[in-house]
Amino acid sequence: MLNNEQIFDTVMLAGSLLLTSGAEIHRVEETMELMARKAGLSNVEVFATPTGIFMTAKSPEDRVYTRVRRIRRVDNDLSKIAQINSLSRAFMDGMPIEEVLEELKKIQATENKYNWKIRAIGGIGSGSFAYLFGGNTWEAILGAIIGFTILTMVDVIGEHRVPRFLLTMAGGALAAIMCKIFVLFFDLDRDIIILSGVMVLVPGVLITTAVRDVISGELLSGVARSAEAATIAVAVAAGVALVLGWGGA
Amino acid sequence: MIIIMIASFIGSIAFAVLYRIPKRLLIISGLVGMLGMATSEMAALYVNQVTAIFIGATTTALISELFARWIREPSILFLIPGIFPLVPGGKAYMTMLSFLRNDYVTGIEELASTVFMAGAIAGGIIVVSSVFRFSRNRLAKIG
Repeated sequence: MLNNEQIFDTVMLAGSLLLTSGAEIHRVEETMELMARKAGLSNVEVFATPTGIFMTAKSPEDRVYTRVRRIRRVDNDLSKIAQINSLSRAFMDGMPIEEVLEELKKIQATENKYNWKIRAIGGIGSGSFAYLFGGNTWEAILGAIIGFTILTMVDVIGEHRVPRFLLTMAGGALAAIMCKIFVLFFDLDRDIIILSGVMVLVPGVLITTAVRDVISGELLSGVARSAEAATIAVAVAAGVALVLGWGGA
Repeated sequence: MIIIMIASFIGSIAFAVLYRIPKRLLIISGLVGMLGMATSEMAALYVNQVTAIFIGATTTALISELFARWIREPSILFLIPGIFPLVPGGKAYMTMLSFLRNDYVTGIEELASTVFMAGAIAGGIIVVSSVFRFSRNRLAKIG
């Protein structure tokens, strides 16, 4: 049997993994509360924001424990959310907490780097958006190449902990530069190529979770995440504008 | 229309892969994105663009909540890739371009419509998710 400290560690690990994978605040808090209660703690209070988790609870021996966990990096890995979701369900159905901790550590250790296959699929995806913007096949292919290159660049430079704003801006600039070179050789619609290329930079997880946070009453997180999404959108625009501004748009 | 449906299907699946959604759920994510986009395109024939996007977002959210209930996975797994085709990227781009050309009047106009279209997406998700949350809370109290 785990002691109270370890139970706390387990619950905190589940919560911080959910949060760093981009889950909604409501899911983080609810999962942690349910797990803590099931593990025998009482008076459980969890307060999660996109940048940190606070949790306090009373042990069966009537001692009050409090933990704070600061969250610094978020990488959107929805598969981890799905895994932890089913794990916490299994825990509710009677899975021993030792096993839960083991599984959580396994999930935590999972490397989630993009390999070239995932990047290629992402590129194809952003290329297919060219059709939604009214483009033809050639524009889609060039958009796909740009999308693939941006993903690769974000991955390579992202290793060095570059601020997300700069990284996104560089992505937008790269798309515009590549597109400017492409249109020298091909007679295609510049705007559609850039647009489909930068689709890979759209913060889809942030937009969706921001909205869902607001609905569940997590106004703090909802506003914070909306602001982050807006900042990223501005960064993309700034990057593209920086390049297109040269020599007249 | 067919091309748009196929493109949004592929696009949603690609973003589902980028966000590492489990492989067995990829097709569903693609379907959600495709149906949402198709509804929105169809609606755009009869109503204005913002309303059409609202209808598309509502459909996307509704389908993903239903799938989430059915196979017991978090609904955001389908919702996030599903809304990508609806994101007003084109409008946002035109906003940037107009400001770059010192055409502030058009820029503000495009900005306003970008904000409204983004608001329509949020509104669509809000309506559906609130209804589902409400019904879940009620059921939890009864059960």
